[in-house]
Amino acid sequence: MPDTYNITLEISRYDPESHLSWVQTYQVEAGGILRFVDVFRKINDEQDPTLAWASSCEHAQCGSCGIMVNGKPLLACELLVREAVDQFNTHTFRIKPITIAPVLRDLVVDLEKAYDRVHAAKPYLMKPAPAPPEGDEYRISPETLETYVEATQCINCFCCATACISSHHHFLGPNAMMSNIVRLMDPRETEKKERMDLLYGESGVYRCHTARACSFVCPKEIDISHFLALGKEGKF
Amino acid sequence: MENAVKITRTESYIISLIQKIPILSYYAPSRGWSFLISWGHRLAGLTLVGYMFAHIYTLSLLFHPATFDADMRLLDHFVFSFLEWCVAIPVIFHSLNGGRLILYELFRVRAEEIVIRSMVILGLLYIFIVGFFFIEKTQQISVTLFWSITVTVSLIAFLIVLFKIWMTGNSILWKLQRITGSFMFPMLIGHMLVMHMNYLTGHDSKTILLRMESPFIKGVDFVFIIFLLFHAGYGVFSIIADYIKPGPVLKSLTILVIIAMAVSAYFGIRLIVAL
Repeated sequence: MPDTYNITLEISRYDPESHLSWVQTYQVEAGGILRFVDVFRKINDEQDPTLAWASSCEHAQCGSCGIMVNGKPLLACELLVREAVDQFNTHTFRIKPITIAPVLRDLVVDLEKAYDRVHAAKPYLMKPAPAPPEGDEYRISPETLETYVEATQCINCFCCATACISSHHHFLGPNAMMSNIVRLMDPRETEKKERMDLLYGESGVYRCHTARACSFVCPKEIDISHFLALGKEGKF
Repeated sequence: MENAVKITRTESYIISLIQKIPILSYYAPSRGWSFLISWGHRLAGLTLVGYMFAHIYTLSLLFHPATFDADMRLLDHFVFSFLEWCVAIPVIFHSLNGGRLILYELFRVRAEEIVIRSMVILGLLYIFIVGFFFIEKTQQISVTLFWSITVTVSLIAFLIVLFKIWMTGNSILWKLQRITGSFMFPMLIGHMLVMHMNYLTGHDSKTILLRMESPFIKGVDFVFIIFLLFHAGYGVFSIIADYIKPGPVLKSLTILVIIAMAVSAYFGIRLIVAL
């Protein structure tokens, strides 16, 4: 396995001032264990300081560095150069911003707009059950927690929503819908009716066609389609 | 939860060959095979909708048996026979994948690798059997017996899905899509099979007209066409709604789909009642 790779990045650019879009090609010599965020930084340092991209934690926890590489939505902070070469079997990578929200500049999208979908699903306990009188905490059995704890690891990177066959107009999106279903499964949530209305509403789970691209691309390896199917089955 | 599909070396080799097709080479590694199967489901469904319109038109020629028989003789040509056999591909793919979706969404069957493998094996077997019957044209089976068995299986599938789904809060149309799908799963597969098993059953006006005198067959065809048109109409609407934002365009297209299905229902039912 080589230590360095000569890779070609074809990156979608967008200038909001002129409203011009184009594809810019960068040739980069990159170490195999460099992440794509590191490659972007290298481009900024060595070739083009104007290339805009987003990241924050760079530990796959904040979800702000979501991009599309050769059509696959993923986190730029997780993808190593050598893994990308292996995974896509090429040294040329077409890089685009995720498609779930308007592009602000180059690879940066308006995550506020994307988050509107999550906010619509109210990803919090709307009416928490009162704490048991004998203690100061609400205890959930390990068996119950096991049924939905995986879904709580979602970081709302919107990779699933970008990959979804149907989430761009009607559907709130896999991650937003899953956050609603998780609260339906959470015994601490008592506001079931509003959640059920949301689940089965016009933008709800029936817009999901079980294409399972959400589960395929999820950087946290959450089987999102499993939870959406539980929503359709109506048993929590 | 396990997302990865475990595949054998042979399957891996076959998949690598299939992935040489450009569109598959793009979407298989970026969205997964289930995504491609979903697209296949849509395309197969749309193909069947087109075939259904053509089929209703062809059957409407039964009002003039001589014209119908002349048209059927045309279908004896190798090219048309081959195309007719090709219809078995979207039929079995759409049916089996519909079954897979119902199992996944309503019965928590998550063993996708087993289900997809079964789909491939059963699908190939079905296409081969239909082709064999198509070439042989010598089989004979009682149509009433065949449909009695098929309708019984369809009713069982229909009732299982109905009881499973009816009390959920899903929209009524969404539920009916699954319910009609479960009913048509054996019916559609059976329809294609029996029509090619007994050659005259689907190609000779006298045989068809004689069969259509039976109230049982009339009833079966009536339910079949209503369920089929609803399923087709909602399926087409579902695809359109994924790409068109709610508004006048979506409304207009929805009305167009309803009209197309209603007109087809009118011609189909008129045929069943009149013959």
